[in-house]
Amino acid sequence: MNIIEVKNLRFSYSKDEKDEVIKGIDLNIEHGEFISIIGRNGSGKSTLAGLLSALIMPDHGEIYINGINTKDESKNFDLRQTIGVIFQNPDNQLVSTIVEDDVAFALENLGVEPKEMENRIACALKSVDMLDYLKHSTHMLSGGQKQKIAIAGILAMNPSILVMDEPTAMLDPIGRKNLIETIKKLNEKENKTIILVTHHMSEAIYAKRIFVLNEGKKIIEGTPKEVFSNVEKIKKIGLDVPQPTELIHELNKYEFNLKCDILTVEECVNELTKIFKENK
Amino acid sequence: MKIMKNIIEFKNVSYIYMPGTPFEKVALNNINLEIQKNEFVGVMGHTGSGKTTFAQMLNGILKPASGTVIIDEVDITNKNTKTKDLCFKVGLVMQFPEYQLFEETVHKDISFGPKNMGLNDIQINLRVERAIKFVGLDEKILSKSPFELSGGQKRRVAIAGVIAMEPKILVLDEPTAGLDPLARDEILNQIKFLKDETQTTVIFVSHSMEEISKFCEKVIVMNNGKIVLNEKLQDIFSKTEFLESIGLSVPQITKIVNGLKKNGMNLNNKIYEIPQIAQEIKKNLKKSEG
Repeated sequence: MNIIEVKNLRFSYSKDEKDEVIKGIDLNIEHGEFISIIGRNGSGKSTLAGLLSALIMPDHGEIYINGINTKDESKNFDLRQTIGVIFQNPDNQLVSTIVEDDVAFALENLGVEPKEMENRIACALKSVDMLDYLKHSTHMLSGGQKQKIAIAGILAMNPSILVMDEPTAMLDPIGRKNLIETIKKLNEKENKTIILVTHHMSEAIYAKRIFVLNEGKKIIEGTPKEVFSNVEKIKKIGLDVPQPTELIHELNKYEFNLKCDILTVEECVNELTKIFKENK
Repeated sequence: MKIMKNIIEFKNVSYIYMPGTPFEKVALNNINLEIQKNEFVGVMGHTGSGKTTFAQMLNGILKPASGTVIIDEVDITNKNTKTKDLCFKVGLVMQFPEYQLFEETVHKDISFGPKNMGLNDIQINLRVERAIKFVGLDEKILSKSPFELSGGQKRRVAIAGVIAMEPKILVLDEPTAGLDPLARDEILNQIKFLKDETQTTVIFVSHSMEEISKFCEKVIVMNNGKIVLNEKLQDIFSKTEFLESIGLSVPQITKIVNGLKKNGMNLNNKIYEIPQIAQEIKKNLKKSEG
């Protein structure tokens, strides 16, 4: 079943058609899918994320989340509990000085019973491996830890969709790796639908499908293997492919005929070693 | 042959945050370092290793708790040294500099530094125009408000504001975080060009070994407030196990080279560019064909 359906989506900030940043996008996302959105700065990624999380409304076209049109204001409350949004800067998303209070924030607004609240906070923090930090103060955490607390605050509301707009941009490599592991776990174990906007191709490869945006349009869509085997096309619009993919592409210029859908270090080493040993 | 002079010298430099409190943290622990004029130096280290403290010390925002810092032959740890001059000599582009834009127009924002240097309007305009072109933006943007710009444009304007002061030393603290791959390369290429044209010394703080390997000649690696490696770029790639042990991520391509070597291929581990590596792998595959 499609949890998100987007039909002929158009949007401009100035409400002038000349300035459109989303120029006719159609999408279908299934329940429990992990989607990555990649594209250059200004390609419309963040705007699309904003539209999908119903923070901004389409000029033309429709977005249905779980069958609800995002323009239907009477259903706004339901929508807010279906979609959780995570942004780039961890510091802008925390509201309290203590981890526990921060995660409780939305639950208090929803009027959840205190006993139930305790449960949900514990569950949410456990999902992001931060239960040990329950009583810690938020400003002493690292960027990656803050980002996890922001996610926990959203998980406590039990949304089925998580929209994340470059959640790892301000993190160091370890914080980034850790957060991606958490996102994968939420998708696999808790069946959350994930929409991850990223500039890091090494993160995008964990998605089930990737949408590539360029100048407000979706120009490529497919599994990571399908998308990144278009090395020339991806590079032409100013994006990178994962380094293992690029190396294989480079070698294929010498007529090696290697599998061109290689994405990870392991696949690359295995493929090259196989040929190396066969030739021996 | 020109005599190489040190433009930056750190002698036994230490820095402690919140000394005397339960949160006391030694951010720099007895650092000794020499950087020569016109070098392009990468500084790596995981969060909390002391990179940013080091960067902020270069232009006097932070003063060492102990030790001596000499910048362009001036001892900046001496109480009689004016910090203001240092701000013009050492341009610091901080993390997410776009949050520091504040003026009504882009032109005014970029002028802020040169104006404070006491330049006249003609000189200021000249520098603003040069700086905006340098970061790859159109002059038309000068009359806009910085807040109308996209994230990538704001970042460029913020960098232009520092470059307009024409500093002898340019310190960039993760200047490309949040930029797309093409924008990253464009900005760093421009900085490389500036370095070559104007003899500027560039200190480039980054988490990304990929980026550092594309642009830097020398790499400093920090861990727990200490300098643990200070090497030429090509020598760093053979130390990947050590780098991973202190929480740094090595490029995927380096991991591939290491994996292939383990499986019997004969590869030089001082190379780090994909076309070069492809050449080496090709030799291995072809040789065994015959």
